[in-house]
Amino acid sequence: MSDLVFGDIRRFRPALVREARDRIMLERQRIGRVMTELLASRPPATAWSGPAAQASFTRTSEAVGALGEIANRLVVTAHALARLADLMQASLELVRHAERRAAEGGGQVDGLGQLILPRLVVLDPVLAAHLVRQESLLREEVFRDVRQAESLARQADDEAAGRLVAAVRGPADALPPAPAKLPVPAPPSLPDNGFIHPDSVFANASWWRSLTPEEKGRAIRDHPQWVGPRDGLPAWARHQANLELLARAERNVAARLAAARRNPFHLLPEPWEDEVERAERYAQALRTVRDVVSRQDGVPRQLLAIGGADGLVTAVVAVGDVDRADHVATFVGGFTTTVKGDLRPLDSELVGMRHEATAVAQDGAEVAVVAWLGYPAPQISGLSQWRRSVATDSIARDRADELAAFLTGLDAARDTPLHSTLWAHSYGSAVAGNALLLPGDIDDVVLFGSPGVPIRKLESTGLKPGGLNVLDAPTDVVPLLAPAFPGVSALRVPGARRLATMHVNGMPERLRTSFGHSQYTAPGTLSRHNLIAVAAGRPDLVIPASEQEVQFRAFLLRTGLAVARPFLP
Amino acid sequence: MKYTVDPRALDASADAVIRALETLGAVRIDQDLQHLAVAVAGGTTAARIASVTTQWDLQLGSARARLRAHGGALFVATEGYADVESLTARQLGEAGPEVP
Repeated sequence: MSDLVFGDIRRFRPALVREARDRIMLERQRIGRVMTELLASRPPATAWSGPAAQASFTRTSEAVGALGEIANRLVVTAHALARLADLMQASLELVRHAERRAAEGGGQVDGLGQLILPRLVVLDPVLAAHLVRQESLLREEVFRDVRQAESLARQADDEAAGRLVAAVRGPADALPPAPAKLPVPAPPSLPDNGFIHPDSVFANASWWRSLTPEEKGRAIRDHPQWVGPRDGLPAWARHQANLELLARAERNVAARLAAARRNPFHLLPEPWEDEVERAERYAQALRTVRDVVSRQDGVPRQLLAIGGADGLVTAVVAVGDVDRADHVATFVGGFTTTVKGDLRPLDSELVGMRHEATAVAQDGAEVAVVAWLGYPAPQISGLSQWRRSVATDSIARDRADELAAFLTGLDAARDTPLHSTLWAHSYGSAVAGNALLLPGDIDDVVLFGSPGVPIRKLESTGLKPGGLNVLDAPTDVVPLLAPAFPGVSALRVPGARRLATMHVNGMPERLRTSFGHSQYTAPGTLSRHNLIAVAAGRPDLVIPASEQEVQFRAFLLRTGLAVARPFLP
Repeated sequence: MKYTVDPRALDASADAVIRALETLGAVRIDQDLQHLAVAVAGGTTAARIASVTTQWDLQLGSARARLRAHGGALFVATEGYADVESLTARQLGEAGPEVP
C-alpha cells in the first residue's frame, strides 16, 4: 500500500507522467505501423499458394496478433498514466490550495500537512472571537485538503502501480478498463433532512478538487444530484447540474399533474388539498425559476440550488458570476416569501442593486448577488401551526444550518478569497441570526426590518468588529415585535451598528427615507445605499443612522404611533 | 500437390519483416517509463517500475523473436525456391536429360 505523505505530493511531477504517456502512445503508433506493413506485405494467393504459403500466412497472422496485443497493452498503460497524471494534478492542486489558504492566514503547512499559524495577542474580545473562528475554519479547510490530497495521492499511486503491472502482465482478455469506464468517486454523504454542519462544505470542496476534469464532467452529467445541492462546489458546476435537476423536476410535476387530472378523486387525504391545484402551483414555481435563469438581459444567472420542502419550491439564484466575483451579497427573504411569488421581482431588484454595487466597488471589482430562497419561509397558511408560524423562530432554527453551509461554501469553493455579505430581511434575519451562531465564513451582515435575533453578544457570531449592521426604519412596525419574538432586538446586540434609513439635513440630497417594512431595497433610499455600500466593501460610503433617526424612533415608540400609523411620511 | 510461387512477392514479404524488426528495435518502453520513479517519488509506482519495464522487455523480445523466426523462414523459402528453380531449369533446359 502506498504511504505517500503531504511532502511527497509537493514533489509530484505530473508533467513527467504525461510525457511518458505521450511516448507510450507514440510507441503504440509505431507498432500499429508495423502491423499494417506486415499485413500489407503478405503475398497474395496469386503470387504464392500451397501448404508453405498457408503456413506463412498463419505465422504472419500470429505475429500481427501478438503485436496487436502489445498495442492494446500499451493503450492500457497510456490510460493508466493519463489517469495517474490527472489524479496527481488534482492532489497537487489540493496541496496548493491548502498552502495558499495557510499563507492568506499568515501561516504555512509543513511537510506532514500540519498547519502552523503565528500566535496573535488581541485584546478586543470581539476581534479575538472573530480570529478564533477564522482560525478554526482555516484549520478545518486545510485539514480537509491535506487529508483528501493524501488519500487521493495514495489511491492514485496504488491504482497506477496495479494497472501498469496488469497492463504488461495480466491476461489479455482481462485488461483494466479505460478511465472513462471507471465510476466517479462518490462524494461525502449529504445528510437527509438532518443537520448540515457548515464545516462539511470543506469536505465537499476537497472531493470536487480531487476529481479529474473528465470525472467532474461525468459527475455533473450522470449524477447531478451529487453536484447541484452541494455547498462548497463551484457555481458553474452547480448551475449545470441544477439545470438538469430542474428539468427532472419539471418532468416529474408534469407527470404528477397529468395523473391527477385523469383521476376524478384527486383530493389528497391530508391536508385535504386538491392535488391538481397543488401540482399546478409547484409547476408554476418551477416555471418561474426556469424563466429567471433563462433571462436574456446580458446579466449571467447561476442556479445554485433547486429543491422542494413542505410543498414549496426552494431555489437559490445568483445574479452575476459567483465564482469570479470579488464581492458576493446573499439576500435572505422573510415572511410569505416564495419562489413563485417573489423570485421574478426580487431578481429584477437584485440586478439593479448589483449594477449599483459594481459602480461603487473599487478597482473594477466584480459583484454578484444571490437570492437565497433556499428555505420554506413561513406563510400565512402556517399561522395556525406552531412549528410553521412566523411568530416562532422554529423554521429559522431548523434551516439556519443550510444558510450557514451555503455561505461557508461560497468561500470554500474558490481559489481566491471573497468578500461575503449577508442581507437578511424581516424573518430572514432570524434565519441569519441562527446561522451566525454556527461556524461559518461571513464578512459583513446587514439585518433589516428584523423582528429579533438569537444573538446575545457579537463574539458568538465570529463577525469582526463592525461586521453586524442593522437597518431599522422608524416607521417599520416589525422591529417593534422584538419583545414578542424569540431573541433580542437586532439593535440591542452589543456592537451592532445602526445604519441610516431616514434622511436628515446634511445627508446627500439624492437619497431619501425608506418607509415601512418593505422599502429597504427601494431605489434611491438611504437603506438601499447602505446595503450596497456594505456589499461592495465600501465602509467609507456607509451612512450611519443620525441622532434624529434614533430619537424619532424612540419618540414613535413612546407615543405608540409606530403601531397606529405605520406608514407615516 | 499444386502450388504457385512468385519469388518477388516472397522477397517483398521478407523485406517487410526486416523493416518491422528495425522499427520494433526502436521501441524502448524502459526509456519511456524511466522518469516515473522521479515523478511519483516515494510511492508504490516508483517501486514497481523496474519490474514493469523488465516485463515489457520480455514481451517485446518475444515478439521480435517470433518475427525474426518468420523472416528467417521466408528468406530460406525464397532462396530455396530460387535454388530449386535454377537447378531444375539447368537440368531440364540447358543440358537436357542425361541418357544412360
